[in-house]
Amino acid sequence: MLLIVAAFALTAAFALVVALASGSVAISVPTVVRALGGEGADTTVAIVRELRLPRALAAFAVGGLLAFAGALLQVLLRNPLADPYVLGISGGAAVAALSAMLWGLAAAVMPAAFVGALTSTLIVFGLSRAGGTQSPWTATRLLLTGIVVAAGWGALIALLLAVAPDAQVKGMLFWLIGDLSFAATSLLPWCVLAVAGGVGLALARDLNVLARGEELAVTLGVAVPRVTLLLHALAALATAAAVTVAGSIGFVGLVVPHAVRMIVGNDHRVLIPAAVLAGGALLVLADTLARTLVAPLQLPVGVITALVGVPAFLFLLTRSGARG
Amino acid sequence: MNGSSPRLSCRGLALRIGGRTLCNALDLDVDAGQCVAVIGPNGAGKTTLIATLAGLRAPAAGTIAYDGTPLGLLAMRERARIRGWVSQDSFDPFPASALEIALAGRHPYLSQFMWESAADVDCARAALARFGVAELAARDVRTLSGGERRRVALAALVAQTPRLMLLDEPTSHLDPGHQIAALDALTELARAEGKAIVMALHELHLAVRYADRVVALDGSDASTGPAGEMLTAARLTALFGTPLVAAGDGRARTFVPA
Repeated sequence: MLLIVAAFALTAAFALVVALASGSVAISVPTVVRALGGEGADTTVAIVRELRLPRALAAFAVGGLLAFAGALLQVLLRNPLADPYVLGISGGAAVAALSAMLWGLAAAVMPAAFVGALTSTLIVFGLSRAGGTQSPWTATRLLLTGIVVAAGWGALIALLLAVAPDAQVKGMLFWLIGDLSFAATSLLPWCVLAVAGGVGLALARDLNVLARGEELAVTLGVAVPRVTLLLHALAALATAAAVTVAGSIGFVGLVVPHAVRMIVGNDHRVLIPAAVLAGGALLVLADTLARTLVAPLQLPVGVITALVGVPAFLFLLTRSGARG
Repeated sequence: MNGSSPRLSCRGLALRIGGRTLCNALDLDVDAGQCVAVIGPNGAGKTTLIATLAGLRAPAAGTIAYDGTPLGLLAMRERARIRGWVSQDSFDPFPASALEIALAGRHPYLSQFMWESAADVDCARAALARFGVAELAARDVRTLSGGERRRVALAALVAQTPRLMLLDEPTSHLDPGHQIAALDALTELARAEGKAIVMALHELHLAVRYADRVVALDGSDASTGPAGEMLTAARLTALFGTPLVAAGDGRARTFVPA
């Protein structure tokens, strides 16, 4: 078990080194390691420590948060196809962030996205419980409410794009696809990842049982209402932090937990750390490609996550299908 | 708690679901080593009764106690160490090996960050062996047949080592040989270790063979009594609303449509 997690950690470290070495100025791996320690030419140290490292770390945290939130929501909704945005959280963030952009409040984009994401979560939970307290927050009700609320946000996003001046539309689209160019220096995703990840790990065995139904979890001693509420809050917070930093990057939260589950199984004590590391590594590599592939042009990283991840995921899926 | 208290007792239990009354005032005591069968036509509330006894839903009225302690005074984890529950159908949306399913039964005995010990793994493997599925330990349960999954679910219950076993149609998906093997294993365990069993059953011959007492749900109320009194052609004909006659003798006695 520890070996598996260690292998994922090595992959993540490798991804970070690749990200630090690649760019408009290629730097060799030994030089990168020395520059991290503050040794070497000043410009090299500056490029590695001040330009590439913060962005790579932000990418890692966002990827880890999305994979973490996806893993939790797949269990909470008992659906391997759930992703962090399934309850409409990215739509809420997008409407708030795009509104801030439209009104020229660049500084307000991040706080707006965070507030928008959490507001959307509260709306979805409130509505899915509005019918009465008889069976609060059943997975199906939540999912349906989330999908419908997300559709509503989608309409508002289209409206904002339609009325926006042409000059702003490209920036808005980048945000919608997911982009890390402005992500640089933020402690927010790392703090959320540490807290949410820690609590999630403490509840990992509860997650194993919850994955097989709430009634079974109750009979095995899980305080289901309290634990599911806490898990939903963690997933919402993780997604909100990720969306705030990097816009709505698709695919990572859906596919990373799913793919990691195919490799390590469904024990969340292994799955959660492995998925966080894999999600982080994937997004770091994707962001490295996004800024080097057609340099000096930068691509939105969301395009890369989908282009890299789709074939990889389909490969895993067909392989596991052949096995049984 | 108290050695002389019944494993399960309920007083004045009333069940209502969707505005319909399933039972008004059920009194039931199940002692250590006893086996109670819950029978009745489709929709009479067998699943609801088992789930209510397991504490999964609140009764409309009445009290439930395990070993003399009212359910409300027991924390979730304590309850999980006393009673186990097997649902009508297993639900496995994610991959899991049969051993992992059985190991889940150890959940109430492990603290937050603890991993299953070698003793827990032994317990789970022994439970799988008890139902003849030890060799399936490493298999993904989603690749098993319905009957094999059923036996893995029963093994998970036994790995939980509950004193009170609440079973919702434990023999569904099982062929006749495995029905007998599974219920033999459960009732032997109950007698040897002083556990109590309450199970919803459709096959009347299994009720004849294993039940000490019977709870009959007719869709509007419950009646209860010793198996010998409850399992007669006249009473069952009235209960199921279709003419039934006795067939076979002794342990192999059953009731078939006339």
